[in-house]
Amino acid sequence: MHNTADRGSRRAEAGERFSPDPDRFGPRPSSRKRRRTAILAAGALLAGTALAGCGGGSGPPVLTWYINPDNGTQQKLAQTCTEQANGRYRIQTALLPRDSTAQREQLVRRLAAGDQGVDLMSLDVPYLAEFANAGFVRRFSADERARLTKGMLTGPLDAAQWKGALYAVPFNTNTQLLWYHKSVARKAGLDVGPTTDVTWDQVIKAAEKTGTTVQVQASRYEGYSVLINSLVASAGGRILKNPQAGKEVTPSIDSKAGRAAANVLRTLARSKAASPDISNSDEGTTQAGFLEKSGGFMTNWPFVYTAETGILDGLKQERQAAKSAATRADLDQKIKDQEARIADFGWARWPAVVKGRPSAPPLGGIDLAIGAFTRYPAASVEAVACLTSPASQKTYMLGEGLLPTVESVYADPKIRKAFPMSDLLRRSVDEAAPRPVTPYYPDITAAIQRTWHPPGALTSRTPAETAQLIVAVLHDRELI
Amino acid sequence: MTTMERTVPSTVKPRVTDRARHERRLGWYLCAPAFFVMLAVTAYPMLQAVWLSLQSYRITDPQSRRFVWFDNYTMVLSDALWWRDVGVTVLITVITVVVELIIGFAFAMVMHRILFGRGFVRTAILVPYGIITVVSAFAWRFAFAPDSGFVNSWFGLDNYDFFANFWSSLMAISLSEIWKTTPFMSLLLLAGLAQVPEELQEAAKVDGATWWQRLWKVTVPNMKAAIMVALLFRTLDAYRIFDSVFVMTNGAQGTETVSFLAYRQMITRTAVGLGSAVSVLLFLTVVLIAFVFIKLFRTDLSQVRGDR
Amino acid sequence: MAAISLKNIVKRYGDGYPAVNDVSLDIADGEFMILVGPSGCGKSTLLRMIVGLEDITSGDLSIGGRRVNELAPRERKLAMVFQNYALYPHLTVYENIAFPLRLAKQPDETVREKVEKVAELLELKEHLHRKPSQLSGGQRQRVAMGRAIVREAEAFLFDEPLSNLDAKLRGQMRTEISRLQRRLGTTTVYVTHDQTEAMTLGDRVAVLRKGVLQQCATPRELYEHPVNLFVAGFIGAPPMNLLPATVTNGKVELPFCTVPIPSGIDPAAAEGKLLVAGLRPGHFEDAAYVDAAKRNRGQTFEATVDVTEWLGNEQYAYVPYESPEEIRAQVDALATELDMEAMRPQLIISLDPASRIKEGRPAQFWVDTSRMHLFNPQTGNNLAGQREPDTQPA
Repeated sequence: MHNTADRGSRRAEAGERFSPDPDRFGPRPSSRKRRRTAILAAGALLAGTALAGCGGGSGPPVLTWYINPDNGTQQKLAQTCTEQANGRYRIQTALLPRDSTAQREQLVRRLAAGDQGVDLMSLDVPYLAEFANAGFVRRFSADERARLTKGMLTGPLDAAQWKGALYAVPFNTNTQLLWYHKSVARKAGLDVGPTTDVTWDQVIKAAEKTGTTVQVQASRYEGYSVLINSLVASAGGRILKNPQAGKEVTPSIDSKAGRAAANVLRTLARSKAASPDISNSDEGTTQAGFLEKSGGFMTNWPFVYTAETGILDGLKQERQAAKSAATRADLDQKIKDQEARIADFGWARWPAVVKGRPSAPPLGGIDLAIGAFTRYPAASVEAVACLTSPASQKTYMLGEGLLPTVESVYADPKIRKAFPMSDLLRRSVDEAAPRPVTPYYPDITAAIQRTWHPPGALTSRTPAETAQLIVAVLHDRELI
Repeated sequence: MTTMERTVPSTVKPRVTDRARHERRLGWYLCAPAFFVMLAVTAYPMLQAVWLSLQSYRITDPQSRRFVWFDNYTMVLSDALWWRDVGVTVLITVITVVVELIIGFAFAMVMHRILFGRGFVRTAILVPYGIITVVSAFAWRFAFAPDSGFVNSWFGLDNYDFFANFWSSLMAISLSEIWKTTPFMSLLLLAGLAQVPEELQEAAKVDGATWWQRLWKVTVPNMKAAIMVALLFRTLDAYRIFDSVFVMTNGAQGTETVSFLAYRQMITRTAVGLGSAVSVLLFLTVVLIAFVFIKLFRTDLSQVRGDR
Repeated sequence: MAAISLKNIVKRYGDGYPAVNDVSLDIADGEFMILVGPSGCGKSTLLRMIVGLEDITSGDLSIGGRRVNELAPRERKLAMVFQNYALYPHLTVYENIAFPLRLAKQPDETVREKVEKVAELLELKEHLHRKPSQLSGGQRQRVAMGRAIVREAEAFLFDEPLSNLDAKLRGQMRTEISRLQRRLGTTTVYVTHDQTEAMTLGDRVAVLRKGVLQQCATPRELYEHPVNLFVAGFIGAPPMNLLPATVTNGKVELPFCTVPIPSGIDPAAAEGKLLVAGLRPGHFEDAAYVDAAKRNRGQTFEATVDVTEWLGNEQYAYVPYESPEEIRAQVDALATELDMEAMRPQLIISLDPASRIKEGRPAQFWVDTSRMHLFNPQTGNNLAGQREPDTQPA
């Protein structure tokens, strides 16, 4: 029985037998041509998509700067430096999460994968050692170092080095002060001020006497480690004996200093002066708690002051723009209240632990580092130079309330006007206690947080537990 | 590819015909692409994880990378944090699976019997399953937020922070999971329900059974296979819960689960060796659960009805 | 044990189609009533309405004198045996039979007693521990019956219980059922599409067609006095031959001979009309094998046989004939309704197995004309007087 397939093949056979064209053994010309065009089209499509993936060759290199969230001043600086670069490079910002630990995590994930798109990053100070040791950030040459860190404060600069080399340029620094309501201090009869050193005991007693709170950050997060580190340092101790030793580090938190620090926290947590949510308090809640009626004392970064002056500025602007007399009157009152509130703001050096021994205030800040896998190292170095210039630092302090790392800025009149406590800040930064500079910092801070939280459960044995835990975790003998 | 049973004694080497050989080769050619993809996507990461778990390796300290054989495993299995996380995971699994089974069964019955608005009811029941887990977790996180969430305002709880302690966090997480995956359970159970012959229900009706008696003496015993499949799948999934915990509490207040522990070790701490060990242990646990389930139910999954 | 009474039962579905159309039936206490008809005639629907698995659109259903239209199945105290047995696959035979008793929360002792008694009755004692999947078809059927019996219900309902069994088993089970019913004496309603079961099992048989009751009478009555074409064609295997017949001058003209009008039919009413004559295969015979005494009752004629079938105990001969279009259409329609093929018109003649009539050769046949029925082709009714459908028990 014949079917169409048979008929087709028979026709082909007939073709073979009678046609002299040898090509007849293969597909016919028309179908071959069609196939050829199809292949070319597919190839063109593929090539096109592949080429589209490649970045444009023209235009200035775009540097991606991973910034931590702030009030927009970093973004402004990026624009300014882009303009000043005159086409040599362009800076584009990418936002990191709000939380310091989360910021580190994002950067670690990218850099561990060798992401070439990370050119600049705003890195929280304690993580630099880890990144440097892991080869995630680019080392600055001796001569870049000389150029970029001229006139910078030694404290932050030391923390930006690892094994003798510079791996980041300090972008800003930060320290905490003791903030208090002048009215409360008067009522308590406490002699405190920008030049006086008070101890934690004194502060706690004053708060108890006046029925107010002492706000500290004691939630289970990095801020708590900052507090603990400063308490231990203020008592004359250190958390690690030899941080440079990496994995084989010896903790020294189990010492008189450590126990003294634990004691301070325990006393505070159990006293009437503790905030009710002390175990959950962070920078935001302490700020809010201080501004309440029950607020008396607070250790916090200077942003709390700029926040209040910022509100005042905002009210004044509204007053300018106000149309009706009623609104004007209302705003006038608000301005008066706010001014009174700011006038009541007092500041002093971070409380001491041992009477007579000046405290070691916390040291914060952000370093500007260059990703090790960047495609534009030269442009990045230039960008860093622009972003950390004294002018940029001044802009940043005025905009965000974070402290400059360049000495000369502290003398600027505009700065001194905006920050009446700038001398105290400068001194505090100089005598501040950095957190341990070690590549294993995340483990160490986690170990501290785990053993020291909640503050009410602290005992004199806690520092010993911390030391044991640190060693166990670093040697993979315990999970954290 | 199924293996054929040899009926010829092993001493005699069976002669493979040309046809059989061609068939086999064709079979391999057809399977090869899928096989290699599977190998690359599944086997390779698993083997790499096992390989890494035998080492002590931190990405941020590459110089101290070394082989420790099974030290990671012994350490994890004797660590209090691991057992606490296992406890939390088991707790979440049991709570969510039990609640989902009950609610899912009720939904399955509704979907099975409903006459009016059948399409609408079925879609409404299935919608949560179509939502991505992370999105659902965020939605529930905002719902439970102290000041802005609707839970506090509806129940007059004024600013109660659900994520401030263990049990309320657990409740919120479980609720999000249950809301999301009950439809899946109800779908599987509906399939089982639909395959119970209607005649058995009629016979039971005539025999004098009430609705409740029919449910427990006729329907459920005949759905054993479907119930087992539903339970097995859900338990395996619930044990590996991650998204809701990550989004809602980030592991705080002691709500960390085993997969979260693996994530934290591997990515947050960059302790890839330890994290891999935790992952491998998680995998083995899941396999164990599947094994226990199948043994426990003693049901041959391919046997659906008894009156063959 | 109770009598079941159906008065004007109607079942109408959503689209208005009446599956059961005004059926009235009285089933006496202890009677074995068969509902028979082709598929789609409403017999199963009627049965399900009796047991309560379907709602009754209108009409009255009474069991034991009590109106039960609104009652749930479990309250009607009826037992049903399903076509597919509906055994609980997850329970043993013992538990299957015990199931209704367990539902009623009867004590274990009573349950054991009753189940063993029933198992004895149905010869299931060796299988009590087995599961339904391990039983044969006949055994499963008996388990289903056992489950029905153990309840001591007021009536048994059977829904085509034997249609899933093979022919031989069917025959055996038929006698089992019959014996059982007689022994227990319970009212039984039995649905089947097989007219052999209907004829052999029932005290009375109700023939249904498209939801309408055609005739309800004893099997003998149905066989000998079918009230219309449908019943005539349905009852009896091989089916009744339906031939075209014209009545002229008081004589009935058939395709192969002319016969006198049978008694009981008004010649004037039938005169000049084209009718359908019904003659069963058994009413024919090889002319050579007819007793002289019988010969006068009928008529002999000659015809050519197309095909013969010899089956050992009986023999059939097929004689084709011509049929006018009208009658042919009628007969074909009837055949489709009866789930048969509409084939060429031919006479089926039952012969003595010893007869040597050959295919393709003309032969002498004799037909018992006194047994002939005449039907009105339009209405289908039997012209031999409208007897009242026998809804009362004999």
